[in-house]
Amino acid sequence: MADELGIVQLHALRLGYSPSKVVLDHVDLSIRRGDVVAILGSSGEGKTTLLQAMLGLIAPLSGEVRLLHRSLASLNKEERSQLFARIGVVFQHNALFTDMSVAENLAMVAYQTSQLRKEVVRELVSLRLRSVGLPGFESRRPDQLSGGQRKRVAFARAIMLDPEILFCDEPTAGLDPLTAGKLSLLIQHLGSELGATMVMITHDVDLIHAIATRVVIVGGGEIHVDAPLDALRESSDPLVRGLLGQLIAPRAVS
Amino acid sequence: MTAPGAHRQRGNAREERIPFSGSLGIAQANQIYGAIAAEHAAASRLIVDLEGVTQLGRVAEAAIVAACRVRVRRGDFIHIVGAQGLVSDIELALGTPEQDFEEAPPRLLEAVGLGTLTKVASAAALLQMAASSSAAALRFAFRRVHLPRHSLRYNIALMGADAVGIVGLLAALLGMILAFEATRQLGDLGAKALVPDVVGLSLIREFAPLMCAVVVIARNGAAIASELASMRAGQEVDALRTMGIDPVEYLVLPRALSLILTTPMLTIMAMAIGLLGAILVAILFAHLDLALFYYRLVEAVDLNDLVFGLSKSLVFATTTSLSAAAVGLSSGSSASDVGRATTHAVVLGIFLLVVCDALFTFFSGVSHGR
Repeated sequence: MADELGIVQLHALRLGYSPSKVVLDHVDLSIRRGDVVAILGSSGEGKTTLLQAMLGLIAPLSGEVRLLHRSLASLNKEERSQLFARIGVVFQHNALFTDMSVAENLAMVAYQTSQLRKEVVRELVSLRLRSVGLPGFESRRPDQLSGGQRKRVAFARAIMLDPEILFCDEPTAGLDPLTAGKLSLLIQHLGSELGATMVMITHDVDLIHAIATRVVIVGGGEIHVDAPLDALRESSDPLVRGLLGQLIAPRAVS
Repeated sequence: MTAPGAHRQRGNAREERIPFSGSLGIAQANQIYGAIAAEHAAASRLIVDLEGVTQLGRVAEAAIVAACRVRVRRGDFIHIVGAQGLVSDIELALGTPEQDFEEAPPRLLEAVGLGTLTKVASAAALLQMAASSSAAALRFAFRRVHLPRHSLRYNIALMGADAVGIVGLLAALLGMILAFEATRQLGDLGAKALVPDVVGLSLIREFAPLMCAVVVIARNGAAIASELASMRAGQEVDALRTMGIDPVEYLVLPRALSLILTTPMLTIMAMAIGLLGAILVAILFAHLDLALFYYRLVEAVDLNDLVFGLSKSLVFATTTSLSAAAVGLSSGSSASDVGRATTHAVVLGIFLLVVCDALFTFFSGVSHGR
């Protein structure tokens, strides 16, 4: 019953820098378990702001954010830590700690947020690196890796503890088409393996086509579109057509 | 989650079956590990039975693999039964060599070698910076370098004007402390009239340049090192090189020139304010006459002492700016590298300050002896 309510819920959310500088208003969104949601929008429309609000990184001007059925505003430090151990985040610029090895970047998640034994953590690190196609990279440092490899490490860290929700900010941005394609396949594989709910900001139409079940388009200071991907294929909305491009069938010339 | 293992004798080998059931995830991981890798287990053939498992998370899978490795090391034979996909994943993981990612601390000889190499590299970077900065300064003197004027103005304001308050306050306090101590020591000998000599000479030849240099290292040396290290981490230094702009000319020279220009001025100010503080104490507490103070001061301190003090401050400013720039431009690219560069710049700056001061004192002593 609880899951029918959605494991990410945004109620009457108003986001911005101050009451006079509102970025997004009247945001109501409910993401159910198993949804793979792609968030799209033109630059500066508030996609990252929306994601930051979902993760509790910025406080809304008004409204409520509920993650895994808990209101973020009502959590104390310990509850917050427990809640965030159940989610994974892949940041746009990876946010890897460059003075730690790849293995240490992954292991710190387990050591800081779980009581797992050292032997299990060590095995899990190797397992995660194998699952993202980087076996034997344990002792490398992030600055010794290519952009695609760094992104894979960021994914491995995000899925380290079998998260229930995986948030990704532009997972394929800045990668060449070949690497982006490989990463899309990896995300698709990891998504089906984890069975996790995924929320991602992306403009990668191939990735959206491959894994998204639902598309949220941010525009004009609000949620402009929130619909299943299939429902948008015939859309005549210029913003939808502009952002989803080749996914949408060409319009018939009358 | 798991039932007690069933032991039975089979030929010469003892067999143990550990059945698991239900959904296994992060919450059960440590229990799974404990059940399989238990110290008391004495079986030589272990069957990990996953037939009843409906869902196996990756964390639980890692726990099974880690525990099975322990049993394999003990010489047990492992057999995993269950859904084909689960079994093959675990067997694949078990077939992969174990990775130990925790780095062993370097051995003594290795640590000494690494430390020596680091120090040599640091000294080489400092010498290289001195050479390239001198070359850049010469090119600037012959108007072959166009310095970014806003940068020079900004740095002069930051390194000079913004430091006036703290240098003034510290100089006044220093002058007062010197006057107090001199009055106490010389008063016991009945030589209070020599207070202006002691305070004047020590302030102008030693304490004002030294105190200014310490403030400059803490404020500006640290700032130069952290700014340049951040720029290196953010590839701004690389960007300059690819634009054909010499980072030493564009980034180091304005900072070094600003520091070399402002530090002697701050030192002169520190000398003056320090003397005012000393006069205040001498009049109020040592009950010396202002005219006597002035007379003794002019008698004791000559132009050579002033030049000596200012020469020191010039050298201190040069070593501070060059060492900080060398440390900043040779730092790594991580956030902690920036922090390390800042700390290193301050420590190196103070080390060079003391070495240079010792050399000044030694050579002035030698020439005075002649």
